[in-house]
Amino acid sequence: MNLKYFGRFLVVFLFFSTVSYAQEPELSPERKAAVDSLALEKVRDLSKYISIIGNKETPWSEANRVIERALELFMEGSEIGVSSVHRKKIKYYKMKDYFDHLMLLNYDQVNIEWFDIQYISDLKKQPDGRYVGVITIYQKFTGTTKEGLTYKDVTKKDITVYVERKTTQIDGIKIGFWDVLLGDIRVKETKKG
Amino acid sequence: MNLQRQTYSQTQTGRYANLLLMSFLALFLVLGSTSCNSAKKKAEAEAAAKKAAAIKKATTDLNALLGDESMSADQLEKKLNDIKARKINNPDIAALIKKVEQKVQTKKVSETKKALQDILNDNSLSAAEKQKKLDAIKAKGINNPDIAGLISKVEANIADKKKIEAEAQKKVEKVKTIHDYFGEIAGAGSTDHANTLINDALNLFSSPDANVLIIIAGSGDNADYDKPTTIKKYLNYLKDQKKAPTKIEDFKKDASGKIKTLILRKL
Repeated sequence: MNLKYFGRFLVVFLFFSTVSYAQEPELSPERKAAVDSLALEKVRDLSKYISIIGNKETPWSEANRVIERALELFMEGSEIGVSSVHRKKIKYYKMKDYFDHLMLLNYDQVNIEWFDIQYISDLKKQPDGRYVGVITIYQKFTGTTKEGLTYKDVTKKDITVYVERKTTQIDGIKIGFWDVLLGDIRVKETKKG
Repeated sequence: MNLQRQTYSQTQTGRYANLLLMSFLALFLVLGSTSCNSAKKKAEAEAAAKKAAAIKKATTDLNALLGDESMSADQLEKKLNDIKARKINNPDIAALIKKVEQKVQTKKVSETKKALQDILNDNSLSAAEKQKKLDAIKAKGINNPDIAGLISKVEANIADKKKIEAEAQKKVEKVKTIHDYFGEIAGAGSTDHANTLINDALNLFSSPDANVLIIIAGSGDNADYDKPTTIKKYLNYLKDQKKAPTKIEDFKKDASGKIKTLILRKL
């Protein structure tokens, strides 16, 4: 008896789900590809910003300016995981704290490089209309002390990406834009570099 | 006596021979004359038949030209010239030729009017392309008041188009300058050099907060944009990322001629 009611409920649920999704047309493959590419580019942009902030040769004012730009990429309250091959525990920092910390790392030379940046979970439309996906990156960190000691690791990180379609009017032009925001960056794996 | 008889006999023989020869000549002349007259008549008859056939063919061809609405004026004229080249001297043919000539002329006028209207209406043509088409029409030398009026309109249209193109060229030159800055900033060897270039480039804009809209896909009302930014942020972006991944699509200027909104397209 219960199964019978559940079956009916399922049919009704599926019907309304279909109607709900049918109201907003899906993106064409070309537009979807453009949005995918845009989100991926934001992550590549972040990679470059992190590299600039971490670079000891970057002037202080420039580093601070770049931090502001990098923060604009994130949703309010986003966190990033920081790991080390010397400890098991992963520490999570608010993005602003992380960037400030990155700028002041106790190394004479720092080189941070992101590679193999790709989707591990494609952007998918959520019931609230936003698209959410996960992009994975590999970060190669190299820090060299004044004494010439070098620390190296390679960390795999997953970045949640939120994309939302918004509209605005600028200088008489009505535009529909895609607001790409990055969420938490989670450490998945850390190895010696 | 014998000599006399022999001489007489010889004379008589000669007379008969002459008479026979003259008879042959007369017969030959009579027969020859009859035969010549008959050949002439035959040739005349053949020529008359040939001319009749030519008239019939020309009449058919000319009527076909008069009835055909699919051919252009040039095609009609070419076929008419082919018929004229047959040089048929006949009043009916001459009348038909005149009718076809009138048709060619009417068709030329209507085709030329249409061609001129097309030049006027086709905004995708450049001023130079319009001028070339107009020159080709003028070279035809069609004398018609309507066409003369249309030619004047096209000339005015070309003059307007030239002005617009000159303005657009000025715009392109300005865009080129901005685009050059983009490349130079992205490729600057040092932060200081990039910052100098950014300050120079900002002079082209109404303010450091001038709008920058970046199209990522589509066009017109269906365009998809990246999040709007400002020119100062965008120029710094080029410096930080060391890449210039866009081309200039359009821009809007303020009253002082400085750019207040720049529209880019992602490459």
